[in-house]
Amino acid sequence: MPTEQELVASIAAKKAAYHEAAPTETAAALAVRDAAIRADMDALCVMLRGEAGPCPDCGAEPIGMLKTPAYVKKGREVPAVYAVRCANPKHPVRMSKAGSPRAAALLWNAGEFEVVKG
Amino acid sequence: MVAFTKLNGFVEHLAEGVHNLGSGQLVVALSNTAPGSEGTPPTGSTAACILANVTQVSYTNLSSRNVTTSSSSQSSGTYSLVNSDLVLTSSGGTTGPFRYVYLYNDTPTSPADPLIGYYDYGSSITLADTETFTIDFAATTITVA
Repeated sequence: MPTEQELVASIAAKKAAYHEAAPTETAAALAVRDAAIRADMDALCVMLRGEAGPCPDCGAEPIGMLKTPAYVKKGREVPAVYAVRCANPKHPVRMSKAGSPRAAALLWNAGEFEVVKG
Repeated sequence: MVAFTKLNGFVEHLAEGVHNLGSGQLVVALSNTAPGSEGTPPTGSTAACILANVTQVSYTNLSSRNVTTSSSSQSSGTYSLVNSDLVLTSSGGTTGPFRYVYLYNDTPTSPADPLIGYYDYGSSITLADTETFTIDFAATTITVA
């Protein structure tokens, strides 16, 4: 099973290839590339949601995401923020954020959300 | 959190096959010129809704402006685009000033670099060396119902 970093790198590489091919390839060929990108994207979302349960609003499986990547600010590292959320925009968007995918999933399962769009 | 303003030309581009928001590489562009004050305002016709009509700042000292798309999907017929936050870092000097942050699709070639929308941060910002600027893409950058 690929790691998070491997999936992120794979998505970036496949997007770059799509980007390169977009002006010249047929729509059918691009659709194949698109499907491969979406498969990696879905795999990453499933990996990052871990054991998070279904959305309490609509019952859909939530997505896991790297909300904000780690970065360095004035010489100090600011850690990454992961989130579990439902991608269904038809109800208030609840999001559980934490420093790791597992911690975000635990918060989600405990019902500890913030409503980021009501 | 700043509101995202959709550009009118984006909806026609979306309907006419210009965008693939799941696979296209979305990128941000920085400007200190109000959209309505550009020589050819991107807020006008669909044909004007392209990056070439935006007066951009220099990116010499800026980190990558590529946006990571976390999810591009629909639920019950409503499409949702979810992006990870983007942290811009200025290193080796300053970046800006800028006030407007555009989101555009870097992949299409006809037209090239179609714009999607922009954030207006209310006043001009200059990033000093080593300073960061986080673009919070909120809950869902774009929904199409």
